[in-house]
Amino acid sequence: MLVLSRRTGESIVIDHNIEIVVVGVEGDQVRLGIRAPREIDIYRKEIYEVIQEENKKAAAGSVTAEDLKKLFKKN
Amino acid sequence: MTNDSAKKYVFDQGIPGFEHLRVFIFEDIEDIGEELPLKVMRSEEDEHVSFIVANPFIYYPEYEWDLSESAKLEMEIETESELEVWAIMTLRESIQDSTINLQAPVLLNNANHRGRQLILQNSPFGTRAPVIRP
Repeated sequence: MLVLSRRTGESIVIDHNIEIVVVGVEGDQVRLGIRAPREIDIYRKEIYEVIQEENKKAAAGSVTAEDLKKLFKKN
Repeated sequence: MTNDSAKKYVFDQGIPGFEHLRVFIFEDIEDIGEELPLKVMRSEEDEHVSFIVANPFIYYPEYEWDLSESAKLEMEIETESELEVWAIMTLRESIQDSTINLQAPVLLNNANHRGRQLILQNSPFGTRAPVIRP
């Protein structure tokens, strides 16, 4: 991993068109500003991981139409 | 198993957790007995991967979000009337414990048969909304 030191107000540029600015630092929290083309998706990593996990859980069962019927009938 | 209503969509980036799977087939569940707003979303490339997806608006009529520019561009969306929205269900022992993922809806563009699972940054509904509302 590339590690760089930056001060508040300084930034890094990735691939000519993505800029990440350190907007502020308060204790262990860093506020980042991101300038990127609108087709670039940006997520907090935790959100992506939660979705990955939920998808894996959802795919885990091989559910048949029969199971579904039973499941909805019990209701 | 094939049926006439099966439709194929290309997911350029796969979906989170299954980034390598690019083609999903959406088909009706036959013989479900009653009219449930559900479909099967099945990987064409890996027969072991399939999901049950639900029409989220049946369960959560107030469900809404803004379509991001990146999604519009990637899916080449020109008109929103060609779009379908589904939510992946996580089925558990009983329907009371089962949930739908409203934070990451599956968007299908019928104009070009592209699909994508969106990730909503700030969704009040979350990844585990109960199917049976409390």
